[in-house]
Amino acid sequence: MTVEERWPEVIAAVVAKYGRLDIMVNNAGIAAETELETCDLAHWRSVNSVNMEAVFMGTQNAIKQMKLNGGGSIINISSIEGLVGDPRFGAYNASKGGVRLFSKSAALYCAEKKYNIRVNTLHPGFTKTPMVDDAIDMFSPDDAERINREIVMGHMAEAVDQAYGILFLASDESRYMTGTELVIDGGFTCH
Amino acid sequence: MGRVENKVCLITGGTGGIGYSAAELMCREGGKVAITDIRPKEGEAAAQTLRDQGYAAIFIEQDVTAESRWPEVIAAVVAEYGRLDVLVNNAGVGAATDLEESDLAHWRFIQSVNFIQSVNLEAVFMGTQNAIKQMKRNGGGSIVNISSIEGIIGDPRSAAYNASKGGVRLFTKSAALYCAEKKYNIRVNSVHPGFTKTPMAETAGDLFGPDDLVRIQHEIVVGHMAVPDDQGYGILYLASDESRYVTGTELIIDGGYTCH
Repeated sequence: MTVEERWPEVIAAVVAKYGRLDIMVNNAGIAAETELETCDLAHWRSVNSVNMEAVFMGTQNAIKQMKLNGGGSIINISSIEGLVGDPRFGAYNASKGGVRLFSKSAALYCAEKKYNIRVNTLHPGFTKTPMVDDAIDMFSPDDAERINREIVMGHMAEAVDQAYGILFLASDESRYMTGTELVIDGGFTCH
Repeated sequence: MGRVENKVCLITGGTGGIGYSAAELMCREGGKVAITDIRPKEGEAAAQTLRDQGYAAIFIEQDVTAESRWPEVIAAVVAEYGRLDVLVNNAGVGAATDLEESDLAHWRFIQSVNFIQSVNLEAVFMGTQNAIKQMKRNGGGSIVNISSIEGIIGDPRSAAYNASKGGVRLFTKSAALYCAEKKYNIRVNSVHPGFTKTPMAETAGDLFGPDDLVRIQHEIVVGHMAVPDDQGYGILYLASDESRYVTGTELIIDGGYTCH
């Protein structure tokens, strides 16, 4: 999804199959540790191209189709790291913070154009996924202990806990929600 | 169907507007509902309307600002349904405050006469406290406190309302942390409605001048007010187990009001 010319093809393939596009979930993402003093620009770009640039392109291409079929809902997966900082994840923080504010901008743009397209972000806390399994390996024991303390509920989320939030934002039940954030983090960011 | 199957839901200010919408949606999804209100006639009628559709619904008269009434209300719910799973602290009042003209006496006055701080903030504290006492006995629950977009952003004409709703927002996080620390399996979250077509908003509209209305209209980027169900569906999500990993956070349903 970092390949710009692939995006119109993907949207066209969806429309060829189903005739329209109502919901776009920009979910693909990568986690990577950033050592702030030694990392280079290539590292920065590798994280931001998947986590942020792809969200920009996905949103842009979805809007072009959704406005043709009368509206839609775009859900951009940010993270709790789009809300709070982490000393070991500078590039990831930047990418997810970028998703958070870009989504508000896109929400305002669509509202102004009266496209009937809503744009919101989901902010998962630590969730039992293959990506997090890999990420957990990057943490030192001290970090792991700190993270565990922050998850006030005492356990990680299941993938379905995030999926229900996405479902709510996708459905017309949330038709008055745009430009906002759904945080599903077991209390991580509330203290 | 069945998203809150057999969950016992207590909703304050459940007679109209957002509270009634939440009550009706909970019923539709299998919940058993108790609504409270300070107006018994309207409250009984609302509960009857729900029962007429075949739903489990009772009305309990309640002044949410009366501390001694809270344990009685919870006890009445438990007497009827045997437990308490969901509390929606929805009852609220709006009023304009002229920051320069109002003095401390006004601030205290509106507190002492069951007005803004008392209804909007103190009642949320008491409701949360009393709900926790019951919910911890029946294995957990979900508390949904209705704040407002005015718990997030300031309004030059609504100082006391801002204070009360900002208080609800952070009190909710504190209560969420408390319950998690105690391992009560009780989640506590806030909902932040934008301008919604309810009886309260119609009254509040009269308090704004023409310039204020232009300003407000400009802020609602989707161009129209919400209907109560737009808020009700958010409350339903937070009440259901679909949101079991959600605690201490804020659900903003405002048509883009606060995102710019």
